[in-house]
Amino acid sequence: MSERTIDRMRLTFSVGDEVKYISHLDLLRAWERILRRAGLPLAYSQGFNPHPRIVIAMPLPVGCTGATEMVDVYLEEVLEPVPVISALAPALPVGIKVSSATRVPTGESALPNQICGAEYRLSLAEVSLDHISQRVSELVAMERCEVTFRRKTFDLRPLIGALSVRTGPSGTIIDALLLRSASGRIGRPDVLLEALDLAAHARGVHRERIVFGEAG
Amino acid sequence: MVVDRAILDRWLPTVGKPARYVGNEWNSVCKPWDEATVRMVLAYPDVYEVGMSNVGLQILYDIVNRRSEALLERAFAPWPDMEAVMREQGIPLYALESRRSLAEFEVIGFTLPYELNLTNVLNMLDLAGLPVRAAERDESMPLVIAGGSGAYHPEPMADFIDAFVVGEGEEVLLEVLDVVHAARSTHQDREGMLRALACVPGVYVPCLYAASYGADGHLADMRPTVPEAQMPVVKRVVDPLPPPPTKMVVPYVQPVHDRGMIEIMRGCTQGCRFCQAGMIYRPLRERSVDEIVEAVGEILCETGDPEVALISLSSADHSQIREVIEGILHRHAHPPTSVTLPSLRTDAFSVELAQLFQGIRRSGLTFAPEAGSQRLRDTINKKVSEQDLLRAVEAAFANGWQRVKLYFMIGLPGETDEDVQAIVDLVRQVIEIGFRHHRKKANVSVTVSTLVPKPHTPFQWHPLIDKETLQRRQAILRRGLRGRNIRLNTHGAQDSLLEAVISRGDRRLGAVIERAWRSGARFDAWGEQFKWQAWLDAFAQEGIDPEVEARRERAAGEWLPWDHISCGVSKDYLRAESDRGDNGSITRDCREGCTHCGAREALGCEGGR
Repeated sequence: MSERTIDRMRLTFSVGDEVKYISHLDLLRAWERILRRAGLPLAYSQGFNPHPRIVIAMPLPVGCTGATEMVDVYLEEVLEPVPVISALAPALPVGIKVSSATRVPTGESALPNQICGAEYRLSLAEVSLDHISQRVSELVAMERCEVTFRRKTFDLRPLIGALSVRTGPSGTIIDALLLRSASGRIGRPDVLLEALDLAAHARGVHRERIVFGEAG
Repeated sequence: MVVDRAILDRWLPTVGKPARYVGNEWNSVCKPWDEATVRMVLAYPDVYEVGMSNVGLQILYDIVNRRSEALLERAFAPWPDMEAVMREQGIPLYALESRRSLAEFEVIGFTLPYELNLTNVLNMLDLAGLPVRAAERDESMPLVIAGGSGAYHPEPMADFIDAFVVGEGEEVLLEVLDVVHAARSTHQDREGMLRALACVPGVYVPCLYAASYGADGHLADMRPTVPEAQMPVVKRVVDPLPPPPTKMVVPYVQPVHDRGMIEIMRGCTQGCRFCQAGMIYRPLRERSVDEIVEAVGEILCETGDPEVALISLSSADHSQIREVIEGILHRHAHPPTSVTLPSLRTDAFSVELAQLFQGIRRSGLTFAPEAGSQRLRDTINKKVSEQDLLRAVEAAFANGWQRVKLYFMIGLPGETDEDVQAIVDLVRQVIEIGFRHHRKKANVSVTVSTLVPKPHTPFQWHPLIDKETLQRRQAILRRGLRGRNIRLNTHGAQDSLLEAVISRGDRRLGAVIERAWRSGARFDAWGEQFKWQAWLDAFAQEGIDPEVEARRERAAGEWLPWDHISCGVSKDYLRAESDRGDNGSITRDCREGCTHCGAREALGCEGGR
């Protein structure tokens, strides 16, 4: 950490359709540029390649929109939230909106370690409500559910906190609470859709909320 | 037709790096379609990350979009996974800003940066639903133009491109758009529009010229067939350089050169005999220290980039480069800003400059002595001595760099095995210096490419090195440059051969390019995508032997396929330089006195500072 870090600001932001295909690492690059354009006093690491300290709460899967994403920004000056939001306004690209800024104690544990999961809204089309409900019931009834993601096989079942099905304005919606395990494994909506054998019917994944708490 | 967002949302999650195909970047310009009277799409025949690193694209995007009545959008070559989706789903190639098919624009403008992505040009036209051949397109379809370094030797693409814009695009592109707008609003037919375009200085309309061939099968002559067609077509230059773009598009997908860019000068005075850029971008024009420092400030504010590259063909040659770097570091110290100089000279001064920057030590310093022996360096007019290199390397290692990168070429005129052994000996000396400073931590990365003789250079008559000699010399390098601390990269014989044939081909090569593309050739520069067999078959079917074409020495009096295009440097000068190279005579840097290449007279501009 930079010796000059004296403040930490948590920004809550949304990721819209315009920017939902940006990868996690590219979103971090984008944040560095947004914050520099806004002229905020970022705290940089020392050394030949100074890097700002910008920590995103949880990677957003590529293709997924988000309503209340979070990023912690380390600053070398104490600033009030309101001027930070004003400074950011002209620097934000289409598709990224900042809804709030909050000062956070610098010593608090890193943002990703405070997260236990997230709520997702999965929109599905061209498939009946009954079929989806049946797939969901079957999955919930299973004790284990082996899935493979990025060539690693693991049990998805303990990462599923809650699943429910409802009719939406244009098709069917699954509301899902997906968890983060103590070992750091994160329940992903795309993996869930694969496990339900419904990936081909997905018409949008939206992260409603990041849930704070101790990972289970 | 605007491509439906829903269909993209259905399929983009299935392809790699989907953000390549979406746009919406910071500083991208989305103008209302119906308010523009002339609409153009800049088409880059490579992937997004490569195209977005191109400063020319950012310059033209800025210049055209400043005009209220014009609109310029962008399109890039889709990677094969995306191409498959587009073909299966019937999605046309669309511009990122409006998501409209390329077929809806009045003008499609390709940049031709390199021979090994020409098949992508055909593929992009086809994906837009357009006939690839110019003769098969009509008034209802966009005008297809092309610029960039490929426009200086345009013949291989003459069958596909309606008009080439030769030289620097800042002014002439706007003139071209005016002609297109006038032709469209008066419902002029295609031929009328092409003839009007042929009158614009710097514009080459290939269908208005006829080629004739001699009994030996070689091109004998190129003649205009209408009075409007210029002979020769002289490249356009802008003098002084217009203000640099500062509101640059900031890509989300990490580009290959991930940083802000400012062109600090254009042209190069060194006169290296193999270097096409050094010949075709004359004369030298520098930007002032104030303009550069000021513009860098704007770029940092407008983009948020933490790093800015001072680009040109030889940035250490800027007459006030030290003041430039100090000015930037002084004015823009906070937040920390990195400055990079992508093209260093091989001397201690360059290392001194490099010490001024932050953040570069990790990546190593690069030097390009180009040849191993003094005799060959004289042949290519690379005015660097062994002592210069060793001093530069000494300074680099002594100042904390543990890694040095060296660039060499083989296949140079008059080269012997001893000259190649000299590369090995030189690298050995370099690594010994490294060991002295950093023991086993020192390392040297050596890239040895194969000289591909290029049009508009003194080596344009020279043959490509033959396969056996190339293999033998690469073996000398591999044998001599073993060891943990040395990394050797060489170029593939097949890509060099293809590049050599295309870069000096006449318009009969169009049929070969089309056949290779139809057999699946795409992204020829991307190792794993390169389909050599498709090319071999295409050459065979057209009765052209690539080995013979690449390895044939052109006669002094032969009509070369680019002789109707003038970059300002005269053919006589190039010939004289070729002879001087054979004799090992050095030609001075043209800052030390004019070398009478002809550029000033032909281009009617003074250049200089």
